[in-house]
Amino acid sequence: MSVIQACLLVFFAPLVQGVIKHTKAWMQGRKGPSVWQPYRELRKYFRKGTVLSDQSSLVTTVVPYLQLALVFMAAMMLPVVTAASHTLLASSDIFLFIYLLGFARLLTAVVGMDSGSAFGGMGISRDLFISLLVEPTVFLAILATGIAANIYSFSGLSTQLLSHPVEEFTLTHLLAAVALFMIVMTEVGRLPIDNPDTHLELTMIHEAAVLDLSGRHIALMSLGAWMRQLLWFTVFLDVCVPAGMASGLTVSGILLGVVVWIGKVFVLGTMLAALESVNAKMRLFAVPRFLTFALSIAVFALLTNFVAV
Amino acid sequence: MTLMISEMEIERNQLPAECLRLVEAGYRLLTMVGTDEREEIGHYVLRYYFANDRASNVTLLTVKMPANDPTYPSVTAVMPAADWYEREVYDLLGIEPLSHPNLHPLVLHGQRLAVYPLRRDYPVDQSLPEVVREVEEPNLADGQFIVPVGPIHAGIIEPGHFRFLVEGERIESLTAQLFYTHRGIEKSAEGMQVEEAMALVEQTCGVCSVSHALAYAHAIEALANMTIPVQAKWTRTLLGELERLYNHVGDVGNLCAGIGFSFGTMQAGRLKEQLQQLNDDVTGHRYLRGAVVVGGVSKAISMALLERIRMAVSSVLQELGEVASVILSHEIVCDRFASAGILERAVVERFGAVGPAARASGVERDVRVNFPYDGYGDLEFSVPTFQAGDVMARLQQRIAEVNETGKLIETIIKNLTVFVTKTNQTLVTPLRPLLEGSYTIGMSESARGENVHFVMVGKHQTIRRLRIRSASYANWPIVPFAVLGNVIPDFPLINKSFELCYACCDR
Repeated sequence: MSVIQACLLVFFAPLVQGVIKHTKAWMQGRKGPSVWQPYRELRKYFRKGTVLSDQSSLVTTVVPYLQLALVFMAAMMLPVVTAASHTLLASSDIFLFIYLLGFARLLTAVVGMDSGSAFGGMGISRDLFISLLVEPTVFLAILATGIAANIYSFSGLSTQLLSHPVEEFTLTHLLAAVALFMIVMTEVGRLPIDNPDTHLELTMIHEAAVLDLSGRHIALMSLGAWMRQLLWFTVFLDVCVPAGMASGLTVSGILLGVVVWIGKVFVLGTMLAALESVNAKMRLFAVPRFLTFALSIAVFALLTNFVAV
Repeated sequence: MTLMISEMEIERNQLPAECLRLVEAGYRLLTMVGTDEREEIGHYVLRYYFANDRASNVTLLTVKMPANDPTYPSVTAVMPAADWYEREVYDLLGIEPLSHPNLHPLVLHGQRLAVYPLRRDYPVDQSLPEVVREVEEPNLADGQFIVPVGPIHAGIIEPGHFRFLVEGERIESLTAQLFYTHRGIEKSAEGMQVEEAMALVEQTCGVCSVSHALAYAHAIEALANMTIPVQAKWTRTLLGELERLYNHVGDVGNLCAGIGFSFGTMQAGRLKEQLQQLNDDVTGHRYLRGAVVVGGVSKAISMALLERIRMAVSSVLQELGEVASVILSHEIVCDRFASAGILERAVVERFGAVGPAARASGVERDVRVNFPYDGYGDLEFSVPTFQAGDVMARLQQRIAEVNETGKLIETIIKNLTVFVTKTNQTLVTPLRPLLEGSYTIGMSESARGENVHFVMVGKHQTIRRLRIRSASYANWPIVPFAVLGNVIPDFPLINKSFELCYACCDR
C-alpha cells in the first residue's frame, strides 16, 4: 500500500508543478506552457548525456539517486488518501519524516559543494541558513496540534481531526496552519523567498545548488524537488485540513480520498501561484524576519495548549 | 547647431597639468581618441575632448607623439575618467600611457603580444593571435571569497565576466571584464564611404540605433557644414524620442524582473511590445533602423502615422502610469529598490558618468539641453533629476523621463503636421565634399546617456578613423562603485538599474 502510494506521488508530482506554472502564466496574462511540460522536461533530461565537472567526485553521481530514494521513503510515510496508519511506513512518525527530508537536503548541499563552483557554495549556504530557521517552526507547529493528546504521527493528527472535525479544530490548529503555510512557501522555494523561475544565478537559493548538474542527475534532482513540494502540500493538508480523507481501507473511501486529495492539492497550488504572481522576491536578509514571524506564531500555537481559552 | 570646439595643441609632458586645469575649470572628459597618422604626418596623435556642460562648449587638447616613441604621461591619476580610454588606446594602437596606475588589458584579454589591430598597417582581415588567459592568484583576507560569474550566464544575456570579492554575502569589490563582443566596428569602418558607414554605425548597438546614427550624422554634417531640411530635423527628433520611450518602458520591466516581480515585468513587456510594433509601422523596423541617413532622414512620416503615434504613445503612457503606481506602492518592491546600489554624486562627477544614471544622482547632464541638436533647440522641455542615486531613483528617473518624452512627442507631432500636407518634400540635403584630414565629434542623447562619435575623413569621402563612445562606455566604470557594500543577490538588480549595453561598449 505505502509503495503504491509513493509511486502515485512520483507520477503526480510533475503534474502539480505543471499546474502551478500554468496557473501562474495565466495570471500574468501569458498563455504559458502545458501542464504536462514537466514530464517532457524529465524525458528530455533522461535522454540527454550527463556532463560532469572534472572537479566533481563520486558524490555527484551517487547523491541524485540517494536523494530521490530518501524522498521516496518519506512519501511512503505520509497519509495521503487514508489515515489508516498500519499501511504506512513507520506508522507515519513525524520525526522520521522530517529528518528524512532533512537528510535529502543535506545531500543536496553536498552536491552543491562537490564541484567546487562558486554558485553551489553560495546557494547552499543560503539554503542551509534558511532551513536552520525553518526546522524549529515545523516541529513546533506540528507538535502543537498533537501535544495535548500525545500524538506524534501524521496519521494520528489526521484521525483526530477526521473524527471530530469541529471540536478538535481549535485556535491551536488555526495558528499552526498559518505557521505551516508560511513554512510550505519557504520549503517549496517560492516567492517571496526564492524565485523558481529566475535566470539570475546570483540571486538563486535552491537552483544554485544544482546548477552544475545535467542530464540524468538534474532529472532526478528536479523530480526530488517536485516530490518534496507535493509532500509539503500533503503535510499541510494532513495536519490542517484532512477532511475527505478515508479513515479505513474501504475501496469507496480510498477512491473518494484520492479525488479529494487531488482537488485540495490543486487548490493549494493555485493559491501559491496567485501569491507568486503578486509578490516580488524579498531581500535575502529579510527572510529571517519572515521566518521568525512564522516561528512566533508556532510558539503561540503551542502555548494555546496550556492556556485555558 | 554646430558645436563650438576650441582646439589647443600641447606638448606631451604638459598633458597632466593641462587636464588638471580643465577639470578644475569645470570641464569633464567627453572622449579621448588615438589615431595612427604616421602616413600623413609621421606621428601618433591623441585627442582629448572636454566638455563644459554649463557653458556648452567643447575644448580639444591634441598631443602628438613621434612614431618611434609612442609614449605619453598618463592622466588617469589626475582624471580617473581617462582610465579606460588610455588602456584601450594602448591595447589597440600601442600608444603607452606612462605611470598608469592599473594598466591591465581592457579590450584584448590575456597577455600583451605587441599586436595592435587598430594601427593602419594591420590588415583588417587578419585575425588576432591566440592568447593565454592567466588568472592571477587572488590575495584574500580571512573569510573572503572570490565569486566568478560569466561570461556565459544562466539566462540569455550579453557576455561579461564579473569577479566579486565577497565576505559572506557582502560585496567588497567588483572587477568587470567586458569586451567579449568586440567586433572591430571601428576598424572595419576605415575606408568606407561616409554614407555607407551609416548601416555599420547603426549596428553598434541593438537598442540605440537611432542615437548612434544621429551622433554619427551630426559629426559628418558638421564636417560638411550643411544644414538638414526642417522636416528631416523634426522627424529625427521624433525618432530619437520614440527610441527613448521604448527603451525606458522596457527598462522598467527589466528592473521588476530583477526582483521576480512578474506583474511589472509582464505589463512593461507588453507595453514595450506595443511601442516596438509602432516603430515597425513608422519606419519598417522594430528597432528603428534605416531611418536616419547622412543629411536627413530616409522617409517622411505620413499624417496617418503621426496620428497613430500620438494615439499609441498616449495610451501607453496612461497604462504605464497605472503600472508604475502599482510597482511603487508594493511593499517588497520598494524595500528592494530603496537604498540599493547607491551611486554617489561625487563618483558621477569624477568619472564623468552620463544619462539617467547621472541624473538620478543629482547631476543635470543631458546633451539635448547642454548641446542641443536637431529640433531640441526650439523645444521647451525640462529634464527631471533625482537626488538619491539608488535603484529607486533610477527607476523614478526613467518614469519621469517617459512622461517628459510623451509631452515632447506631442509637440514634435504638431510641428511635423505642417509639412505632411506639402507635396514637394525634401528630406535629405546632398552631402558636400569633405576636406581630407578634417575631423570633429558628433553627439546625441540615447536612452542610456550621451553618445559621442569622433570622425576623421580620409581621401574621397571615406572614413579614416571612427571612434564611437557610447553612453555605456562612459558608465560601465562606475557600476563597481554602486555595488560596493551591497549583498550579492542585489547585484543583478543594481546592474539592471543602469541597463548598460555590452555590445555598444565593446564595439
